[in-house]
Amino acid sequence: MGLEALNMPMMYGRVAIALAALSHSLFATLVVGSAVIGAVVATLAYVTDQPRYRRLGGMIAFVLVLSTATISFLGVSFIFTLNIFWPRFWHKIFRIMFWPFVLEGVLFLGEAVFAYLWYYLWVWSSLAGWRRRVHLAFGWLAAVCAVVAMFFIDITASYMLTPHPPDSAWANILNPTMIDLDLHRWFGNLTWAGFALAALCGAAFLRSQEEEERRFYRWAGGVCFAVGFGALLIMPVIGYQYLLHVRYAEPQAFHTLMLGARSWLFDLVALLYGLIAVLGSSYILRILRSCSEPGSVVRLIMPSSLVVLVVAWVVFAMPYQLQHVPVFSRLTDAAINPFGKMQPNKYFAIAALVFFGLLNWILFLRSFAGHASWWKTGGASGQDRASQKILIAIAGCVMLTMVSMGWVRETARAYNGYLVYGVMTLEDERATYEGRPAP
Amino acid sequence: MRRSYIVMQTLPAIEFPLIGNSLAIGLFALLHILLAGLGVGFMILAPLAESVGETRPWLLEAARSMTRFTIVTYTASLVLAVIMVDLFIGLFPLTNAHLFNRFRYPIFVAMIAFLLQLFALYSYYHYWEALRARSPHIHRMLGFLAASLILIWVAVLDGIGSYMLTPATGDDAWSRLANPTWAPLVVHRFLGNLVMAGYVVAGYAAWRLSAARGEDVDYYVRLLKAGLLVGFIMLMIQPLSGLFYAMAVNASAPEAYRQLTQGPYQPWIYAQFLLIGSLFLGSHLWLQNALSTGKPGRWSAVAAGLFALAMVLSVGHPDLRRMWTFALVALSAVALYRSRTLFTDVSPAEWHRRPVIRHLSTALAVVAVLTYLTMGIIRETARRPDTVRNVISLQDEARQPAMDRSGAQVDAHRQPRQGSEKLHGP
Repeated sequence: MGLEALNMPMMYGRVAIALAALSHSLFATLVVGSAVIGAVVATLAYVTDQPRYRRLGGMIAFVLVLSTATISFLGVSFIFTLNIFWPRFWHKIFRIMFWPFVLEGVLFLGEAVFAYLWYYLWVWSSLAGWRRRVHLAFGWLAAVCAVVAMFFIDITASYMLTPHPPDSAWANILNPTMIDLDLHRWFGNLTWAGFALAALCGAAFLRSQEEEERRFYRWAGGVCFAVGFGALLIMPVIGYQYLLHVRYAEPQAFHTLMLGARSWLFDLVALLYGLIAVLGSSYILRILRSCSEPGSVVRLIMPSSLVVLVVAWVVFAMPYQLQHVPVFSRLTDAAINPFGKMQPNKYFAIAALVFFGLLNWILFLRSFAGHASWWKTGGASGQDRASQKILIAIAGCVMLTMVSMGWVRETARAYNGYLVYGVMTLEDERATYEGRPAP
Repeated sequence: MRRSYIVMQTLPAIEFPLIGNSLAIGLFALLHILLAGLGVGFMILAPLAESVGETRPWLLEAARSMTRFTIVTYTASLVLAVIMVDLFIGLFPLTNAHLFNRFRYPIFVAMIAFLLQLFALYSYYHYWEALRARSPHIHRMLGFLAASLILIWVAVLDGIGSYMLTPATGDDAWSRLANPTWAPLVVHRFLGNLVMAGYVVAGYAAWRLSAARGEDVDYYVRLLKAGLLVGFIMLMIQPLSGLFYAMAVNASAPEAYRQLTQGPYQPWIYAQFLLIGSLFLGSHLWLQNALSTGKPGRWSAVAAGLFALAMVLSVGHPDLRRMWTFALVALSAVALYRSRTLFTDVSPAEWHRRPVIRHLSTALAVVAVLTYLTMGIIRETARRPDTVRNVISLQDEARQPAMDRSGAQVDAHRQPRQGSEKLHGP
């Protein structure tokens, strides 16, 4: 008895899997990031005994529980989709990465159990000292399980792009891009979760009727934004290392992304990255303006910094290979845009984005100090609301960036016809769709 | 590329260390169905309790508690299912590929139902007060919607599970789903979920009674009685649904049926009837101890014990066993009828806080759970040495890294059955 052919274009299966994978990864990364941020906030609540940290910890725990429930469903959907649309690939990769997959599942179970205990025992934990310590441990255990689960899934994800050498389990696990991908995801998850939580605080602020509520959400949004923005600034450094290892391990994939037919996707990521840095800095500028003296140095530095960031963003996002940009290629005959050259233009641009972003971030952290901090007093009503809307806009951009980055990594393989680079091709899966033996 | 491909093809079949492949999946499957079975039972009972709770407010709290349990264990249950499927993909790739390939459209429907159910259930719980303040009717409907949607999911999974034992040879997925044992299994499991849910609620209430104070005592006493009533009534219906299921298995896969009732797996049937007998006997003892008037009398418990013993001893003789089983059901119905005042009167709470009641209730909950799990084991065992009866055997799975083979066809030319048995044994 053979497998029944799906009798549909392979593109349908690719789209179904892409949708399942992207929605899954969006929530999976949110779970990992919010678990880590939540554990840190819970620790601060325990150490400082300040109610606002405890409240923020509770909010993050709730987000974590909802995200965990969603991801468990999306995980099932993703597995089912792979089983149906790419059974040959799925069974093959599963046989190679059996233990990482199983351990990832077990650790995710741990994350779910501890996250639920953390959230649903919130009231129980407020009664006695030892209970608070146990409760804090639940938060950290959830975070550790989530991070280690991510490590195991990164083994498979990185193996699919750089599976060299294929004849050893340990070599497969520690493949050339494994560590870089894991680090990249660490900070990527913190960025996404930080900004997503800040956006939720922003939305709650906009809905709030009482000043006390607004004060809390103003502060909480600022804290989560600081986490996201700080992590964002580290991303280019790790991303550079990641690409460097892709270049050495799979030059063809690297070329596809940086100079080839999919280079426009990398430009899209650069465009979104720069936009986040600029929007984030404009949020900081609004905050600092509302709390600084008219003649202060901060008011002088911030606008200049923002101008530099905008220029750097434009340069960083410029495409170099114009003929590969989908719409652009129809508007001009020029094949190359010399301003979009990586060396040195984009290196300078990314350096400026990171350096001036860091400067703004440090100024923003300083603004939390003092009795008359901005989050206690707030700015003018309209300005205050606009700042919260910026937080929501940033989260939208980050979500697009996360999806684009996932697409970039997958397309580096798929564009060259591979499901696992140099090991299994898309053509090997065609039999699933057309009912003929695989080559 | 060629070098890598060769390496892939020579990958050995995966053998789970220490406990073996079947047991590895079995453990996670049992953990999953334990939580999932309770969750489904509670999802059905919660909106019902809420409906009755408009006149009996304590049932509103019971409905909310059951939903809370479902929500809290929900993700863990789902992740256990993911691990189970993970193991299934890695350890039984042929079977996994075959099932997903053959049931893809029902799986799509099940996934949509599950997603909608997720929204309904979370809204039902997390917006409990807000929705009830607006309209209790809408809130209840949301609960019923969640229950209906989860039953679609369960029905599809039961279809796949029953197909593995009695595969239908239809041309499309829906006719395979409607295989001979599907409908009886759906009904049997539906009632089984309620049996387990009822007794577990009673066990939980009994446990909480030991430390309850003030108003809580009344609440847990009511919960204890309601849980036991639900569990016991459903238990009395189960032999009938079980009979239909057994007849369907016997008619479609007589070899499998014989293997269970008279073959090497007969001890599992003994274990199952021992547990069922214990549930009946325990429930009779509970009624006897719970009634302060002494009705329905010691004779009822003694008779139940004798009938249960006769039922267990006649496991190898189906007709005789059925006679004793239905005699036990009839006796239970009479005992429950005679004890009806227990569930309507407000008897002294202290009477139900006695250790005998609490320990008996807890023991019944444990036995109900064990019965549920044993039934799951029996259904899976009936297929051995096949994974999909007469389609894929354990030997087929062990023989090959199937999906690596050129063409990746699920093997049509099975080895003789004897080979499979030699390899894996009973």
